[in-house]
Amino acid sequence: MTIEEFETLLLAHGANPRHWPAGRRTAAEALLAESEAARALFDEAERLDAAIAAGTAAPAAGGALAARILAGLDAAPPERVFGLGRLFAWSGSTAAAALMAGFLVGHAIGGPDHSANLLALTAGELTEIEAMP
Amino acid sequence: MEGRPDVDSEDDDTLMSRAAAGDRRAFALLVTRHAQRVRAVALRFSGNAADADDVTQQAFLAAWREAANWQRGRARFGTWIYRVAVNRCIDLSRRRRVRSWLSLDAVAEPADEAPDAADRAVQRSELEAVRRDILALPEKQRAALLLAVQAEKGTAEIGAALGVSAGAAEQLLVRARRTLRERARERMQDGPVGARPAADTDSGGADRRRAAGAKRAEERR
Repeated sequence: MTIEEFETLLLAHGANPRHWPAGRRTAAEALLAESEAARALFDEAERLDAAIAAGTAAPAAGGALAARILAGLDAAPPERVFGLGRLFAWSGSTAAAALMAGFLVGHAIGGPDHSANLLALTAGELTEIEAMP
Repeated sequence: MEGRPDVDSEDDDTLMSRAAAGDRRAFALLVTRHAQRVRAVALRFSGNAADADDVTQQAFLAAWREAANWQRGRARFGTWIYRVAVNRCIDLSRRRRVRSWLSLDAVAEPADEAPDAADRAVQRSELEAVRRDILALPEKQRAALLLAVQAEKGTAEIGAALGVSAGAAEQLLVRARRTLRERARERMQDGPVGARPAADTDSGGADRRRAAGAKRAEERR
């Protein structure tokens, strides 16, 4: 293993040898034992790991978040969606996007302003085109 | 004694099967197992506690909805849930950026939630500098780093969560850590954090973005 490969290993996986891929660990440990430059890179990687760990540490969310998640389940019961259902679900979102794109183009060109109804339609608040004035 | 199966020892796939049948206790266990780390990734991705809570809730709501269609072995729940959460983080980040460009709202400063242990480990200013550097990483690099550090995922799982190969995930980690290392080296050379102007380097657009953010903050003052 070259010193450049060792450096790449440290950047990819950090300084903890347990996280190094098994296929590269032996060669990396051998280089670390014999190379001053490798030890310097390793020491710097350890400091970087510590800084990243401190910078990404997060306080415990506590039980409130779990309670909030579980309380929100009532609004969305599990639903089996079969193959065609998935297709229709995709088609529905595509149709909504096309509808919105058409609205934006139409709005740019001019004409009566039905923006509130169209927004409500795409948001699911209206279900019938006929509901629009 | 015959009784209710011990769901605590069941794997995620089995818990999803139970959740599909409406078993909230099984789903609650999935939440207990994964929500804390999912939120930690979302928090450090977004820098905002409220966003992290929203993203975590949305990800688990998506899991609840998906439970009936979950197929054992098709994906690992512990990877899938991060994929959903990271995608929502990225969507949120992009919407915020558009709103910021359009001056529809101010760019919020990251929430400051350092646990005491972290405060003791690193000086306060260095800790804040590291957090800013992480927030300034490109989205996929940031997500890859957080999945590695916070979620303790290997490159294969990171790749699966981000929709890239394991090799590409490794490259994302290399670029992320290289940028953070360069920033740390600059701080070592330049002395106290915050006492120097942002420099423009070849290692990425982070400094340019940071300088632009500082300029916007200055304009708001």
